[in-house]
Amino acid sequence: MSLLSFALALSLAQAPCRGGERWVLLPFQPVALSTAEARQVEDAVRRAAEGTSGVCLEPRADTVAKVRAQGGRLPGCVDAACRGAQAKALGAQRLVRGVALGVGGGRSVALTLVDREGLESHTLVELSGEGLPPGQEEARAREAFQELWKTRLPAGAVKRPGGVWPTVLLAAGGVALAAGVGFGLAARNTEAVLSQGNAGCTGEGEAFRSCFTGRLREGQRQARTANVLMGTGALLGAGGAVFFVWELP
Amino acid sequence: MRPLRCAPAALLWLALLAGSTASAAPARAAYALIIANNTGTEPKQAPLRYADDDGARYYELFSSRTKETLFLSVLDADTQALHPGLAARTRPPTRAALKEALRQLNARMAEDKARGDSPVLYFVFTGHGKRGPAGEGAVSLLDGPFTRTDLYSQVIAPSTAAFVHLIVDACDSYFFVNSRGALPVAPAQVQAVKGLLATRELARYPNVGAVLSTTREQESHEWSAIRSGVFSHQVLSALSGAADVNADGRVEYSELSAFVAAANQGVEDVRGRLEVSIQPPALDRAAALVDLGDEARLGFLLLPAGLEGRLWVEDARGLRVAELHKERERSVVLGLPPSQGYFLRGAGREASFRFARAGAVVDGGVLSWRDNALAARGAMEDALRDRLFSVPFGPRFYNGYMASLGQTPVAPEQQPDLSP
Repeated sequence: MSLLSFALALSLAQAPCRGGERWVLLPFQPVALSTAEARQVEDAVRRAAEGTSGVCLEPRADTVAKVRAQGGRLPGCVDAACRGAQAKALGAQRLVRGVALGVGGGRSVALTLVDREGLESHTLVELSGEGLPPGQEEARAREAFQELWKTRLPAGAVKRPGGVWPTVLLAAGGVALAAGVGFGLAARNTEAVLSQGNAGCTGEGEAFRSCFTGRLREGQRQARTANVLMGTGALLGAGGAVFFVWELP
Repeated sequence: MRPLRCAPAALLWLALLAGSTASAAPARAAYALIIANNTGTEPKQAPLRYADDDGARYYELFSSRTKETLFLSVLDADTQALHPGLAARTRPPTRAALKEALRQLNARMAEDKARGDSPVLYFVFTGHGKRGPAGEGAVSLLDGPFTRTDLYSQVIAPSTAAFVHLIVDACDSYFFVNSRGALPVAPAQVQAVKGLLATRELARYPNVGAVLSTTREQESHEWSAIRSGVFSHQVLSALSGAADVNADGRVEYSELSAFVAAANQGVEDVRGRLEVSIQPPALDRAAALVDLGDEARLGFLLLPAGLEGRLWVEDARGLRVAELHKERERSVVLGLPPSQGYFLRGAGREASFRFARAGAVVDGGVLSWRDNALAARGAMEDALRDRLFSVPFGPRFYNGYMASLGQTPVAPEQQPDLSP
């Protein structure tokens, strides 16, 4: 397969997710419930996710293959950052975990949504049980997902810390360049004055020579300072640009 | 298109509902008889401090899960203050009251059986126990001892329950249920006495399981930090769901046994280590002591995978109602009375939660934790604080424990469906 055809295949594979967020829904963990019953709950939530605009849910077969590759289950994470890293590792913008429970004569589902930054939202919905009308499991599973969808934080809502260096470097570079331009203009002005012949000096002999030499040295210093500042500004600007690109998500 | 798309899902839900209804028969109808007595029948038996507290906690646990729970106890002033209104529902722990309670429960269980249900009786005793000169164990009621002979002739033999679960937290409780050792009779009478004793052996009653606090003549331990006997605290924690190692919602005898073993594993001082005897009913060794899936007037706290370490739940009264040392990968659900606020506590931190109503589930993975100065202060008086529950309990411990006993473990932990 040529590089071009591979890229085309990759883009076609990604095509269904164009314009939406790529979500991965992990197989639900059953607690006090059979695996088959937990699958029913998971399928209901999956249908709700698939019917939500803006969500591109990874096909279950693909998710299962990835989970199998990791030994059948993802390691339990102590913190949200770990769960965010798992989302990233699975190639998802958001990861949905679920626990399906069958306690107290009813069924419930606990859902956790985590993005790549580790920002989480949660919901827990009772699907059936005392005080709930029967036959509403599918609808309540849909409600559970909608609740999760509503309470999610927008992707990238929180700016990552550590973006200060590009700003500092670019600002310092800008100041250095501006100062360099100022000194350059001053040097050019001095050059223009010197080219008039007397450089604005009066008198004769030693006094004139001394004044003229002074003006000449001042011009040279301004030109040297301008060059140093321009060079420094260019270096700082380049450094800031490198940091900026480096920290791009 | 939408109705057509949802139709298969609805059919699946209906099929699942029908399947679960069909497999639910016969219905399990649970009853509990709890006897708690601080005082002993002999002058040298010093009064216990927390037997009545343990009884009250057993009452709270079982009254939420059973059709009827009877409680025979005289609660002391502290316990009455901690459990307002409970004293009015108690009867004195006398032989007459016990006989009447058994008559009442047996009548109800016989009705259940006639309807085709499967009644289950929990018989719980906390208090003093003693092995008599003839080797027969007895527990102390308010008006005298209640012997092994009484247990078999008045509780076990006439019981109309399909299963009886005996839970006894008392000194020498092993001999209250089992006989062992040489018979203190002349050789000519041995056969006759053996024949009589055989009617008082658990083996004759395969529907009876026993959870006993000691295997030898050993004093049961009370721990003031938790206002409880250590054994009862561990059993109550296990029955709340902490021992459900495979997350199937059922706490079986082997899970309880392994849970108690793990809880005591870290206690190095032999004087502080409990020895227990836990025997499942021979008829069904996988019989569940509790099933969290049953209808119950409980709230449920989910401790999901990722949460780990020594954790305990205290209620608003400051009573520690459940404790465990959780392996990280395990998911655990604790069933708790829903009527009050709780704190989930760990090392130096705590999170408060409350159940909105019976049947409600709280996700412990999303609770807001804060530092807990009280836990850091650490004024507990003994090594029990640090050593009990110091070993994580989960599938790893359980499987090793069962392998060491050479017994069949419960089914493996419930896993997500990884079929495509």
